[in-house]
Amino acid sequence: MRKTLFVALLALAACKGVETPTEANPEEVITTVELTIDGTVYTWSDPEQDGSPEVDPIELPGAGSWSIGVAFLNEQSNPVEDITGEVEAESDEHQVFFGTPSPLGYTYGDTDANGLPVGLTGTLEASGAGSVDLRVMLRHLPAEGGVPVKVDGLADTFADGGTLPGEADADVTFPVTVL
Amino acid sequence: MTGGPCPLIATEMHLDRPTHVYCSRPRVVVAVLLLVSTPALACDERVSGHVHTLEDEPVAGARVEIDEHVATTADDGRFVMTGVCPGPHEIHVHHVELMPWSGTVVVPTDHLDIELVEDAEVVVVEAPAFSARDPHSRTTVEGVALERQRGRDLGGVLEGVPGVTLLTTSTGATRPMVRGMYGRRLLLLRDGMRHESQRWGDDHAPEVDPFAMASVSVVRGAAGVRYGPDAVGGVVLMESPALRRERGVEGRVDTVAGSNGGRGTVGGQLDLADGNGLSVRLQANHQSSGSQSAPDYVLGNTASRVSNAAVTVGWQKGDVDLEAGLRHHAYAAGICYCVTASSAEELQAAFDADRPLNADLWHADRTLDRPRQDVTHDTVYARGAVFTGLGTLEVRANTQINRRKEYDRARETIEDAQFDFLLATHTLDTTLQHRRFHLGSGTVQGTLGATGTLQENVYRGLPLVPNHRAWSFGAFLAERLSLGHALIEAGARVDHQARASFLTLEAWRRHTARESIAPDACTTTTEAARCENAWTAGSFTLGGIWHDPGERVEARLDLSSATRFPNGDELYLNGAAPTQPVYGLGRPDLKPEITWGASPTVALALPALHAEVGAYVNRVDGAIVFAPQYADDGSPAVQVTSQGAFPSWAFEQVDAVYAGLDGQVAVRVARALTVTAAGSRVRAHQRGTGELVPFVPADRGTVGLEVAPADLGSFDGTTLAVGLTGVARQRHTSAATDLVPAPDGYARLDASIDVPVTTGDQQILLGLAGTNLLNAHIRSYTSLLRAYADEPGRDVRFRASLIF
Repeated sequence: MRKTLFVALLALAACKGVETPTEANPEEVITTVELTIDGTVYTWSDPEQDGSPEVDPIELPGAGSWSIGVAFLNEQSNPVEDITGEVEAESDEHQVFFGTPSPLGYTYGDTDANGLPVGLTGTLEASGAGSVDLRVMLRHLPAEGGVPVKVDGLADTFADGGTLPGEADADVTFPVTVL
Repeated sequence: MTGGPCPLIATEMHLDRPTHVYCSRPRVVVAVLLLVSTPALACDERVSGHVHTLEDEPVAGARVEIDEHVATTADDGRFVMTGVCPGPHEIHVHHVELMPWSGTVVVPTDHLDIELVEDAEVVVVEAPAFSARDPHSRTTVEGVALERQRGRDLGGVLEGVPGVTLLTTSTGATRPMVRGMYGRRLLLLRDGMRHESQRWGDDHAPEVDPFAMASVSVVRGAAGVRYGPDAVGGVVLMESPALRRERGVEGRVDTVAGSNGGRGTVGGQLDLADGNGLSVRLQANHQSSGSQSAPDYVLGNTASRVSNAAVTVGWQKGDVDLEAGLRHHAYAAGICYCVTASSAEELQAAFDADRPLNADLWHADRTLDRPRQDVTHDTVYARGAVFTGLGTLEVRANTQINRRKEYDRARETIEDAQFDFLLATHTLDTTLQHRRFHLGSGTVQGTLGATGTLQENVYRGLPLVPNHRAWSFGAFLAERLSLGHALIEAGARVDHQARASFLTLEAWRRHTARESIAPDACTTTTEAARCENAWTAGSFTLGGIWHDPGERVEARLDLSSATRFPNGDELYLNGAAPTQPVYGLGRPDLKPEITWGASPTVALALPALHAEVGAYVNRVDGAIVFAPQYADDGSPAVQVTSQGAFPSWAFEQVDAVYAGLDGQVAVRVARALTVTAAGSRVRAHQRGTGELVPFVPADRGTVGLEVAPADLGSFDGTTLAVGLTGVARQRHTSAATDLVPAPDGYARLDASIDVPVTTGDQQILLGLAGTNLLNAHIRSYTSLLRAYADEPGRDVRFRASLIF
């Protein structure tokens, strides 16, 4: 009897919203990274975020250099949302870092309003044959206390294995074979 | 004006919550039983009763007053008075060696059963009190000790209690750990009501207002029967001052200024009563702090703002006591810029560095930048007690709405929180404290009760935890047999919880793809996957107290168990762990954690020596731990995400043992000089494997001096205290689960001076307290900052309170 009374009174407070969960802020999510190398698109994609990404292997014809562009997409959104424009608009707080073990190399092809590299476009280089992983990291570098933390030399810090400010918005790896 | 808020509340007040409680300044009275019955008509009533101590010793020579009627108790503690008019009357009981008691009695009445407690001035935390009458190891912070901590959060208030360690969150706020357990294994009760919030998150500080408390007690060890599920490591009992009952107005105004962060707090409390049963309390405070500073740098973005407001209305008439209230708590705080690690490598690099990467850029201001937390906690409650022939029947209902928004670093176009939790909890419980009866040469008193809770969690944000709805029911019976110098307590409780979790279909697919949920474990619709769990578990307690006739030695033994049902994150977490660079997965088939605790305590109360030492062993069957996962070949498992590859961690169950001891001693070496010492030690390991349990506090000890000069006239009660705390390096760590090594040990010097100034009916309390006066570089093993930055450095607080 007492238990019945409890249930009756407490049930008055129950609500239905709990049964219809939603995942908010889908625009925050980067599910896909696209590399465009000399017009060919290579994709790292995990739209379900289930830990099983589909990754296109990259094959380069041999030593040389190629233009490379990076795009960041949210494929959870319908239609697919291209986040690259937001990164470009806030380029003073973003930088793309490229982990390019030998024989790969990378040269930034764009700068922000402060003359610092962004990395949405650049040049990918190869000095010889080999199979390595190309790491692409989009780093969000928001000012701290109003003071910019995106400063000159971060690419060198990254290459040397040093500590970067900010947080990784995306951090993916492509297998690369240089013939 | 003689009434006032209670600066001292005996530790049993909640359990035996009398509702005829009255506070008379400067002393405070706690009484237990008044049993009243039916009304009559003419002024010819006879009122009888007996007065006794907590130990059931009769009190002879006590003066009992009801209006103009006066009686004195005989050798057996009994009294009789005649010619009393029917209806409600104030009753006052005085004895030269005991604390006076006042209350209300409705005539005609049954034989009155009045309990007086020993007289004592303010009890400070260093002094063990036998009056606790609890087989558990317990310490209460109240009076001067509580006043000294005004302006600090709950963790700060309890920092000096043996067995309590602070967990520093990423905002700089603290939360208490008791005997190595915290969060979901540490139950918080505010005026007998469970504080329900997102306790599972390590950086979720308790949403409570220490300004509103008259006492804060720490009950160490499992205490599931008396307090319900989750009382695994212990319970923190927070009690408000009793409402004013006499006609008139009283209140207090508090101001606190702190040097570290330029912290300022202002608050006030106003109590009104019409003398005819109606009481009202208004209470509010606000604290603003800039970013705190470590010894060598500002901890960027650790500014905070805390606001509290509460209204309480009470009505007491005859044998009925009602109370209702509203409480609002708001907390907004930045998370230190320093807490950032996108990978295990970055975490290690942060730990290896002497100072945070951008520490030179940070400055002290009051801006709350991303990342930050924005938390509100609202409570509405009502409770009523009625005195019947059976005893005291109390019914309590409350609703708590906990809203937590966490804003991560985000692009400027994103304004919303990345983690948005709404936790609504509705509780209805009832207890019957039956009237005392005699059994052989002893007396029996006890409580039986039932409780029901509906809790709903609605989460929006990045993939993390599901929504859930949980129904919980519990019933318990606890009885105490008092036998002169001994007391035996026994009790049992059963709890049941039925939980339905609601996952988005995307979250459901992520789980099944990772094989953390079996495909047939839940039912799916077009909107959600519904996953159900149900558990039933029992708790037991058996304990005893013995003290010598002179009350110089007291021994307590507590054998108790407690249950904890798995939380939503432990069952269905799927996402980056908020406080570590790992990917976390829940486990839907978890069973309740059952803790079996044994804790003997010995206390001495000699004229110049007070000491209490407690030891304990807590066996936790099915302890739910968060641990790294391994592939079949023994290599660490990894979860690949678009933000990098993270070590895969998951919740699993092990059998663990927590053991240790804690204690304190105070020796009065001269009339005005007391030397104090306290210490605690915790060890925890997994049964079978011997693997250590991580995040257990390091050994620690404190020595102190307290000077309390006598005969200072208006400044009587002035105290000067100095304390030196030493904390060892935690060497009992687990390489598998500690992502970075334990930091070195440290020493910390604190000091305070408290000056009460009494002028007529008003009292002014002045205090100056310094924490970490030598500005030592401290990294604590139980701090979420420990891999990134030093703890906040020197802080000097000045406070002034006016009590009127």
